[in-house]
Amino acid sequence: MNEPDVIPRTRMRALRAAARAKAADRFERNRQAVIVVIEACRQLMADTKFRAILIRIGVSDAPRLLMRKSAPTEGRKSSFGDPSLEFVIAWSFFKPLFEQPAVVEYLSKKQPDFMMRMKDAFISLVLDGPFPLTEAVGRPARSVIPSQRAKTLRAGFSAKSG
Amino acid sequence: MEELPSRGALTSIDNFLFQPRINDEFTVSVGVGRTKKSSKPGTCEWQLGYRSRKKPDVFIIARADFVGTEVRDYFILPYMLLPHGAWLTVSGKNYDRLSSFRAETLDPFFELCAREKLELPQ
Repeated sequence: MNEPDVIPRTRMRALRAAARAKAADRFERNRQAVIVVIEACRQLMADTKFRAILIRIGVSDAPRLLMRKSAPTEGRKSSFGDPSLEFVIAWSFFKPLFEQPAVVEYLSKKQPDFMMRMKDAFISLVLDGPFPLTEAVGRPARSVIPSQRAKTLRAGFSAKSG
Repeated sequence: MEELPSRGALTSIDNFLFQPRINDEFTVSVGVGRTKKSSKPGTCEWQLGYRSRKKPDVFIIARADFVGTEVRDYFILPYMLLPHGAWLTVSGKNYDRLSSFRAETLDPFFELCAREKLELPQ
């Protein structure tokens, strides 16, 4: 009979450290990607033709954080240590606009990948952002628990009577 | 809510979620995280458990002592990024991972909500 493989403790520590480093690297890359997307939003808002379209469809104001001029230097930081909040504001502003035909038409001509980049950033933040999907815990609604309990009880009764 | 209009932001109540809605774009909810009653002197262990079917887009945690009403600081969380129905329990050291969302006052949140008029250059 074969002995089960035992991974030495030192090796396990090394594997865990490597996994942590990989996750941190992925997190940082996501963060930088989100910062780039927010800067793209600012550049779009600085486009006078895009602004004219927004005014025409009835948008009278926009988030101040998107109206700030883009910083010329790279690696610009957000107001918080994490750009997720700024992205939430930008996403809340742009998402309804993605349903406006005039906006979609303009973006498809001038920045055809803008909408896709916003959606990709949203998905990456849900999966690997400040609250990774793998760590989110969902509990069943309270109304489910009594029925589950009832099922268990019924199964128990029928087993006894059988 | 009173500070937001001075920054150009619109506030209303979402008719479906019964949560404050800012600029008709996103909803906000507020919770209080308190220190635990049995906290040892000199340590700061505090906790918050939050779960709601009515998931807000932004969730603000006001951290306070077990006794008293003074708020120590705030955590402004992008709750939109959590899956629906997620149970958020944060206590003790776990708050470290939220440090990038920490703020002494709500001014950063008000600044996030601030609006500017759209104008074309003359």
